[in-house]
This record gives sequence, structure tokens and C-alpha cells, in this order.
Amino acid sequence: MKTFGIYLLYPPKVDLRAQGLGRVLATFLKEVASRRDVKFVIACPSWMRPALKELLDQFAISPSAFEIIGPEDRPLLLRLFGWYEAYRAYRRRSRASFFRNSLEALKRAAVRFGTKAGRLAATTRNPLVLAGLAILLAPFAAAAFLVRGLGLAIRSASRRSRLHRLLAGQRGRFSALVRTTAAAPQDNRIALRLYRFMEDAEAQALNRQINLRSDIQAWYAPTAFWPQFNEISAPRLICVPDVVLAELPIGFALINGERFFNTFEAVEETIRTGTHFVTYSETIKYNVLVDRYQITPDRITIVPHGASRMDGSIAIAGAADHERSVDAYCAFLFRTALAKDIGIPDASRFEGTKFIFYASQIRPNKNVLTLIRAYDYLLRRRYISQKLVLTGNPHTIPEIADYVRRHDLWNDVLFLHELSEQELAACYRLADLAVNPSLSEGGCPFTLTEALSVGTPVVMARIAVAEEVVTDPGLQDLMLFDPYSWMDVAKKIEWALANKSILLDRQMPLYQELARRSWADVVDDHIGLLDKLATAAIAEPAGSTRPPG
Amino acid sequence: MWLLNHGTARKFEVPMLKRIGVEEVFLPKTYPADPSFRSGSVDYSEDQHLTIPAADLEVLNRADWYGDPGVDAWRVANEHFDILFFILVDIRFFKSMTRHYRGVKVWRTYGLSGSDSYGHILSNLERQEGPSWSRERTRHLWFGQAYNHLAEVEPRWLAERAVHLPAGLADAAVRDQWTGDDKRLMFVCPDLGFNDYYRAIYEDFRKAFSGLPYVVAGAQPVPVQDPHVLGYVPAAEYDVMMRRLAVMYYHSKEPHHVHYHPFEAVKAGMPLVFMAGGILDRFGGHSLPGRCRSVGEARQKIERILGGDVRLIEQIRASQTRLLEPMTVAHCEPIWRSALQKMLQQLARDRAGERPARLRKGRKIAVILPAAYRGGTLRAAKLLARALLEGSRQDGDEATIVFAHLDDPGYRTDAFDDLPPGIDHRPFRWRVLTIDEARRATAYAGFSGVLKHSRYMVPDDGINHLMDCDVWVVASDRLDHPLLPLRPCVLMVYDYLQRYIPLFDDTRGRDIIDRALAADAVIVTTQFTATDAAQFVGLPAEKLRKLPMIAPDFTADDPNTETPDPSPYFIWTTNLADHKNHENALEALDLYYEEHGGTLKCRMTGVDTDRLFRDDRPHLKRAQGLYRSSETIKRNVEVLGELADRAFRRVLRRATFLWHPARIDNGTFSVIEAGAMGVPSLSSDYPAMHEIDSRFGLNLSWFDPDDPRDMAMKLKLMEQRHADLRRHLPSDQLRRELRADHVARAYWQTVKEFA
Repeated sequence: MKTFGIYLLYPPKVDLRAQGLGRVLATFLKEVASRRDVKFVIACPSWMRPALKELLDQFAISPSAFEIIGPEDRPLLLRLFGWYEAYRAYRRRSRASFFRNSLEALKRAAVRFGTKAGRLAATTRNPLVLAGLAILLAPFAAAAFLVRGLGLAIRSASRRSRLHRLLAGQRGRFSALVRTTAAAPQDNRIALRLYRFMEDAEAQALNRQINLRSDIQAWYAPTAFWPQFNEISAPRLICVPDVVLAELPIGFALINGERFFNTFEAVEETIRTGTHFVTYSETIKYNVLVDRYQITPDRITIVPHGASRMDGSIAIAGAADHERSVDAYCAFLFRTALAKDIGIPDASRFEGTKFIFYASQIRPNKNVLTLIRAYDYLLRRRYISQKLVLTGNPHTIPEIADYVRRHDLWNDVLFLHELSEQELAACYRLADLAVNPSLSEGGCPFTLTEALSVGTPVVMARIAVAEEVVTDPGLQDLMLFDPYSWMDVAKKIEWALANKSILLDRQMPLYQELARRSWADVVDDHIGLLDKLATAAIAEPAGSTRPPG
Repeated sequence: MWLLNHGTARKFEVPMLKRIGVEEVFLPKTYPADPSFRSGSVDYSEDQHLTIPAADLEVLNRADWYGDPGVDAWRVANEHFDILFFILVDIRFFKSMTRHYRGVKVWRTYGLSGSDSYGHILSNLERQEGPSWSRERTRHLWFGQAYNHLAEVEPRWLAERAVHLPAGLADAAVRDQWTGDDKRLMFVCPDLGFNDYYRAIYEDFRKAFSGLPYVVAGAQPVPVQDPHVLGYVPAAEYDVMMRRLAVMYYHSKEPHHVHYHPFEAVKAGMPLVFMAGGILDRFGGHSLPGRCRSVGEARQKIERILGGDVRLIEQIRASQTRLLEPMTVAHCEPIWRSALQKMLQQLARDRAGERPARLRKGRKIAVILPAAYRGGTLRAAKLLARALLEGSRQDGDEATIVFAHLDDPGYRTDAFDDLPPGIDHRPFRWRVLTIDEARRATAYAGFSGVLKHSRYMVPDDGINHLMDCDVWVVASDRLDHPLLPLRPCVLMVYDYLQRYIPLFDDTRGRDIIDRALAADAVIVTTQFTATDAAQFVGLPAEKLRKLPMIAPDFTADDPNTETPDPSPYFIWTTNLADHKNHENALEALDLYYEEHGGTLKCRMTGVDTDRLFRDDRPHLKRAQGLYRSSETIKRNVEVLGELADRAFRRVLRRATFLWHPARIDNGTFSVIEAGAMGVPSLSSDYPAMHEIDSRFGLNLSWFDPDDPRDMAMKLKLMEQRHADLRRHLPSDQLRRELRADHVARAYWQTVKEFA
């Protein structure tokens, strides 16, 4: 039996389930796990083991299907960080449970007492009662006065002290640094540098184990984030889904600062030192790897995705009227999805609403602003009634949230954030139309097959990866628009809404054809490639696998 | 194409190329008139072996292979040649080559002094314009290092392209005719008159070897008053020196560069005393008797040689031939062969893996109007966009044009409806990037190099910052910050008014000059502005593109050729800008009515003219004072404000004449428009208007814009002579010419060069 390796070096705290690449990886692993003719070993750092287990669990993949290698104990620094996080969580909980409860109780009692005393003082006609009240309250008032006076005096004196000012300043800065680092370590330069040290050490340990495993004939990295992968001595295959930062350099330069930059540098280094590559599309092969990185075409193989489908996520077994049951289930899921809207708190009232749907993160390449502009025009000049439902967080790119605010669109453009797979499927199913205006993708957007799999027509940007899949010029004219012209986007959406069934009828044969390519085919292609590399390496021994350039 | 003119290198490298299978070699016929090209020469001998058409060879021979050879030369190069070798002295060559040449490009490098690097040289050359090295543009570009370790000091983006093409000697055989009877030391040190580097070396040498008899060889283009310095020596005399002088001293400890003359000494059998630490150590190891670890040791050895220490002389002479070994043809040939094979194989693999046709996209050009201009500037920018569209169609390129304008509420919703299909209009806002953001964007876009400024500007269209466009054509130089150089930038500059009228403070004025210097090309439409670009800005001639003025084709939406009888008014087109000369114009009007008894009313029109007499700009104050104090002016001047094109034409068509009293600018379209309608014009006398008059044959009448009396008198003359002038207007011919659209192609070809 042949044995191949899969290499993963995601950083700590990455929830693979929430990543597009994680889902593709899971789909890949699920198919791999079912293979009896080939065995896969997964190599990953210590901190990834729990995340990997969660991913396998979510996709019902048996952990025993894979051998997992790599360091088992997490680095001490990471453990310390974990403990610190646990401590912070504990403090938050304990504060809430003890101090806050006690304080609240005390305040409530004081208010009750104060109210009663006040009422009595205001309503009594007996001077003795008023005098008695005064005597009763006097010690409390005096004590409060003293405590406050003392406090003010101490604070005033200590504020004059330079040492106090220095200490307070340093403490403030330090605690702020600790707080921000703990909240988002990936955005802190020092934390990032420490992480790089840790990652390098972990990768070295990982690679040592890998290089001892002569039984593993070839290795596969599902993304190009890890230059360390190229230190493996066995034949290697790297998947380059895209280098989207290169396609929208200014947009990405404005978000996420040095973190993206570091990742970008890692991707470039991985490609530069890589030997053999897989892409999802001709576009990435030629426009990115050949043109930009000068990789010769013979070192790049295109392995298109399998069809990404949503129908399975909302399937109902054994229902008498399947379609109605699915609709009811989707309506239920959509209600829960609406509760996740970022813009308004009570979006659940739109449960029966009609809408256009774009499932995407908010990233510069996703072209969300153009879609919102087009929608704004359609709503207010062409009077379409549908809402626009998006799935990202608009604050990721402030211009988007700002546009929605300035144009008073919070009630009609909904941002349903962090949807589950089922909720996503329900949105697709209930939408009148799925739209994808993305400017740049690694392969044909999943929107196409995801929407059609639940019977919803789609319009998309006319970009090269879409034209690779939608090749019929007639169909292209029906469903593709110029993503650089919001007016063209609007016109296409308006036409599609008015001609949904015509569009769907034209698109379904394409879907049937695309649906024939399963993820088993994708895995077959990869195994074939890995096998070819392994065979070539035997024929042409180590040291000659890396061509010039 | 071996695009170097170095005589000694040519003697070795061209025959080497032939040995390893290159069949035909083109050699450049011109090189910079720069004293540092002291080893330069032109060689026609390879032309006879070229099988390319004579006309193509003529194109190549005319081209400047150190500056911008031009698109035609690159067309020929692409058609006939697979590989070129170049040295870099001007960033224009680099940009032009990486933009146009598709074959293998070898940056031939022989090493630099100290820790300097070629990456640093490139950064210095491109400093004004920003990074020009991108992976995408430098496809098949190699760092052809003459010594195997040169790339060690280069930045990674350059070092990873290294290929070893060893420097060598065409004839490395030792011809030992040395006698050594001239008991002097030979030192070679060129360019002492102007080169500080060599000057310092010579000073060190003089100090170290004072008291010893010596001569200094090496070309001295600038004469040096020093009896030891021989200057240029004819070859025969040089040979005699090599035979007779007792010893050569080679000073260089440079780890990355070596001269040819130590090898010449070795070939001639002359003892060579040289310093350790340089490239010679790599060639000869550390044990050669001529090698010295200090200048003192060198002096001691030289004194022994001059004193006739035969044993030392023979030890040095017998062992130093080892230095020639790496320079021999036999040693270098397999290395060259393998390098050439590697480069050409990669090219072949690439050519074989041709991309699918659907991935080839058409050209897209952005015409960017950088401020919320209306009126003439907006109209001119639209004309530019139309010209590019039309020109691309005439050239069979079918480009898409994006007309990018500020997202400004001042534009009416129909402001861009007159753009034809094929021109998309797109609103944008300027966005200023910090240096960190700019640096990241530049790296993401694939560029390597240094950014000079602390702030950059990008057009933010809410989509992809116009990065979908191949070239940014900016319809004005009034940019607050430099554009981030991620796309070639062609700047349209109408005038340099600031040279004649104080318009800006020093910083702003300097910024505007910098914008032109940073652009890849600057288009101007008059000779007057072209002269200013050269004389005022200092723009290199190669960047300047003088193109014919594009006149608006009024005939398209105004087919009316009838010229009605004139109504009793003339039309004054203006706006609120300082150079419009309002004060003199109003004074002239006052004189025209008061002293000359002028009878025609004046109708004023143009952007913001309805605010002319109440706007609070300082330069308008005196004009406003004149207006307030003159009842005559108030009675006779009618302010129409900004008119839509059709309304303007209605008013113009009925005018007795058009008055253009601006002090100076790039000229006005209005006089052309008037001429096409049969309406004569009276214009200020300045160069740009004369150019317009000459190009369109308008028979303009003139006045001195600084002399209100002359202006008033000429107004009166126009009132009297307008009928006669009308008869001499070439209106029909003018309308035909405007329709013919002669100039679009020239615009397209200028921009296409960068697309």
C-alpha cells in the first residue's frame, strides 16, 4: 500500500471549521479516509491536534483513519499563554459571580432603605420621627464624608508624586499591552515574532520526524503558507489556491497590517522554493504561478474542485412531502440565521422576507461595495423589493459599514455573521437569487454549484475562473456581469430576478455536468500526482527534484 | 544582442557566444558620451553575419540601447533575437526593456566596489519614479555575474536570478617577452581628473610608494598635471611598457571587482605584486609570492624587484600564471554553455506552455481626472478618453477606457452621459497611504525596491483602486501627493502657468514638478508647454510627448452649419482663475464703452462666472472694485454663468465675435468652436494661441493682454471689421478637419507603449 503525507502548520487558535480552506481540507480528508488502496499520514504541530480533532469530528471522519505525527507537547510559552487565557476567563467569571453580585445586592438594599427613609422624611408630620431619622443616618453620612474626604486627600497627594505617575503610566501601558496581546496576539508584533520562533522550532521538530519516515513516498501541503514544507526531503506537492493579495494589492495593504504581510512573504517563499504545484484553475496557473512567480508550466497541474453542494445539509429523511419539509426546515434555520445580523438587533422579524444572497467573508477581493451600490440603485431606482443578505462582518472594511450607514441601508442589507453550514444552505435555498461579484478567486466560486444544488439561480462576475467553467457564450451572457461596473451588476440582477426560471433552466444542465465531478475524483487526481512524483523521484534520485528558476 | 560597447569584454564574449552555438549577434552602434565609457568602442563587424532584413538592422542600429530604444526597436528585437545582454546606466532602458522584450534578458555584471550592489544601483536609478522591478515584468531576466560570488551582496529578488557567465580573456596565453630593464613601477589608475574613487586610490598609492620611480597608465579623458601620469598610451607603446617596466602593482582589495590590466601583466610575463583580499585571491589562492597582506609588504617586495632580486622575480613570474587559468576560453566555455542552455531551456518551456486564449485580456486604460474639474478641463479630459478609444480602434486594439472622476456632488447626474459606449465612467476618491501601507501594497503588487516619499496617493474606486487598468493617464498634474507607482503613469499637462503667474507656494510648486518627473511620460499639446516642461521642469526629452491638440468635434451633436446674422453682443469665455486677466479685461471694457463708444454688449460665460463679482478670492478684488465703480460695465456686461454645451453654442452662434482676454494658458477651444460656426475671435497675444491659430487656420485678431488701451481699441476694431473677418474664416474646412479625427491614433500609440 502506498503512503503519502499531508502537511499542516496552521498557527495556534485557528478554528479550521471556520475557514474556507479548512472546509476544503475536511472534504478532502473525508474522501481520503474512505480509501483502502492508499494510506495518508497527517503531520501537524502540537497545537493543531485539538483543532484537527474538532474538524474531523464535525465532518464525521474517524480519527483512526489517519496516523498523526508531530510533536505532542505544546511549547511552554504556548501553555503559559493558555493558562493566562484560562485565568482571565476565570477572573471574568468570578468577578461576575461574587463581587458584582455582592455589590448589586448592597446597592439594591441601600436604594430600598434610602427610598423608605426618604419617603418617611418627606411624609412625616412628627418632628421626633425626623430627628430620629437624622440621628440614625448621621453616622453613615459622617462615615461616608470621612471616607470620601480621606480618599480625595490620598489620591491628590499621590497624584503629585512623580513616582506614582511613572508607576501608573508604566502599569497602564503594560496592562494595556498584556490585554491587547492576549485579546489578539496575531496583531501584536512582539507576539508575532515570538510565534515565528515557536513555529520555526515546531516545524523543525516536525520535519525531523517527517524526514525519518522513509515509508512516506510523497508529501502534500494543501496551502502555500508554509515555506518549512520545502525542507522535507521526500517529493513534495504544494497546493496554491490563489495569491489574492497580489491581485488587490492596495485593498489588502489597508487591512490587517503586518500580519497579512508576513503571511504574504511566507507564501512567496513557499512558492519560490517549491518544486511542484497544484492549482484549482488555469487562471492561477498562468496568471499567478507562471507570470508572476516564473514557475514553468510543466511544474504545475490543475486539479479543479469537486462540486460543492448544499443540498445534503438541509436534506430531510423520510418526509411525506420532501420539498415542503425542506422549506419548513430552511425557514426555521433562516430565523436563527437572522438573529445573527450585525446591523440591527431584531432582524428576526424578516423571517419571511425575499432576498438576494451573497455568501462571503468581507475581503477586498469580494467586491461587496459594488454589489451594495448596485443593490442601492435597484432598491431605490428600480424598486425591487428583495433585501440583500450577506454573510460577512461589514466592519472588516470600514468603507462598507460606512456606505450602509450613509445610505441608510441597515434595514435592507443584512449581514448574517458566522452562519452554520445548515444555515448557509437554508439561505441559499430561500434566496431568490445568489450573486457573486468577486473580482478574484482561485477557482470558479462555490456559489455556482452551492446555489444550483438547492435550486437557486446564480449571477456572477465575469472573471477568468468563472469563464473556465461557464464556457457556453450564450450562458455566459445570461449569467455573468462586469464586476467593475455596478450598473452592469444591477442590470444582470434585475434581469435574473425577472427571469428566474429561464435562468435556472439554462443553468441546471451545467450544474448536472459539474456535479458529476466528486471530491473522490479530486482525491484520485491528487493521489495520481503524488504517485507520479514519488515514481519520478525513484527514477531520478534526491537533489534533482528542484528545477532552476 | 550583446548590448555593451566594452572593447575588451567584447573580444572575449562575442566569440564565446559563437562557440556555444549563438549564430548571429547584434552589437550596438552608439553608447553614452560619458567619460566613464573609456573602454567603449563601436564594432560593425557582426552586421555582415546578420540575416535580418536591412530595414530592421537599420532600426536596431539607430536605437539607443542605453536609454529607451523605442517600441519599433523592441519589435525587431522580439522578432529576431532570443537573448540580450545589457548593462544598466539608465532606468528608462530597464523599464522599456522589461515592458517590451519577451526573450531572455541578461544583466551583465562585472562587480562593484566595496559593498555596493546592483540592487542598490537599480534603486538609485529608479528613485524618482519608484520601484520598477517586479517579478512579472522581469520574466526571463537573469543576473549574469562575471564572478560566481557577486550575487552574495545582492538583495534576494536579484540574487535568485544569478547565473554564472565568467569574465575571460580572448587570448590568455602567456607571451613572455619581458625584459624588465626599465626599473620603474607600473601602476594603472584611470579617470583621475574627475573620478573621486580613482583619485583617492592614486593618493594612497603616492603616499605608500613615495620615493620609488613609477609611472601611471590608464586613460585620462580629463588631463592631469602630474609628470608620472601618462594618460592614454597607444597600443604599441603600451606593449613596450609591459615588456620593459620592472613590476606592476595592483592595489585592489575589492572582493567583487577586478580590472583587466593585472592579467595583461601576467600574460606579458611582468611580475605582478598585488594586494590580498580581492578577486585575485579567488583565482590564485593565498600562496602566490606576489600576494601582499599589507602595503608595507608590497613596498618591500617592489623595492626588492626594482633592486634586481632575481629569485623573487622568478618566483613571482613562475607562479602567477595560475591567475589566468579561470579566464581561459577552455575554462569558461562549459560554464557559458550550461548557463545559456539553462536560460534558453526555460524560455523554450515557457513558450511551449502557451496560455489558453481566454486568459489573454484586452488593454484597459484609466483616464483619471484628479480634481472636480468642470468646464474646459472636464471637456478636454473627455476628449482625451475619446481619442484613446478611437485611436485603439483605428489600431485594431479595441481597448476599454475607464473615465475616472471624483465622486463629487458638484457633478450633475448626467455629467458623463455624453461618453460613448466603450468608455465606462467610474467615480473615485483619493486615498492617501502611509509609508507602511504603500510599502505593503507595493510588495503585494510584486515590486521590489525603495519608496522615496512618506505618503502616496491612490485612486479609491471602491473596487480595486483602478488596478484593473493597465495604464493610468492622469489628465492634470495637480496631485497633492505622488501616485503610488503600481501602474505606468502618463501625465497630461496643459500648461505651466506657475512659471508666469505666481500660483503656488514653494512646496506645492515643487510637488507639481515632482509629479511630472515621476511620470513615465508627459503629454503636452503645444510647443510652448513642451518648452516649459524642458526648461522649467527639467523633464528629460524622452519622457516628453508633444501631441497635436485634440479639438472637440462640435459637429457630432451640432449639425447646424448655418451662421445667422450676428446679434449685437460679443462673448467673453472665462472662469475665476487668476490668469483670466479679469482686471485688465474690465478696464478695457470700460474704455471700450466710454472712450471708443463701443456699442456691442458683452456676454460673459464659463464655470462659476455667476460668482465672479462676489467671490472672495484675493485676486478678484480689484476686478470686483472696477465692476462696482463702473455703471457702464454694469450696464453692458451680462453674466450668463456656466452654460450647458448646447446653450453655449446657441449664444456663441449669434455672437458678433468671441473675446479671449486671458493672460496666458494652453489656449482655448472656444476660438476653434467659434471658427467652426463662422464667428471670428479676438484673442490675447501669447504663444499657445498662436499655435492654435496656426494649426486650425483661424485668422485670429490679437491684442496685448497687459495693455487695456490696446484691448479696448481692438474691441472697437472687431466691432467695425467683424463682417470682413467672417468672410475669411475657413469654417467648412475646419468642420471637416474636426470630423476627421486625425490625432486619436497618436494618442493611443503614446499610451499603448506603456500598456
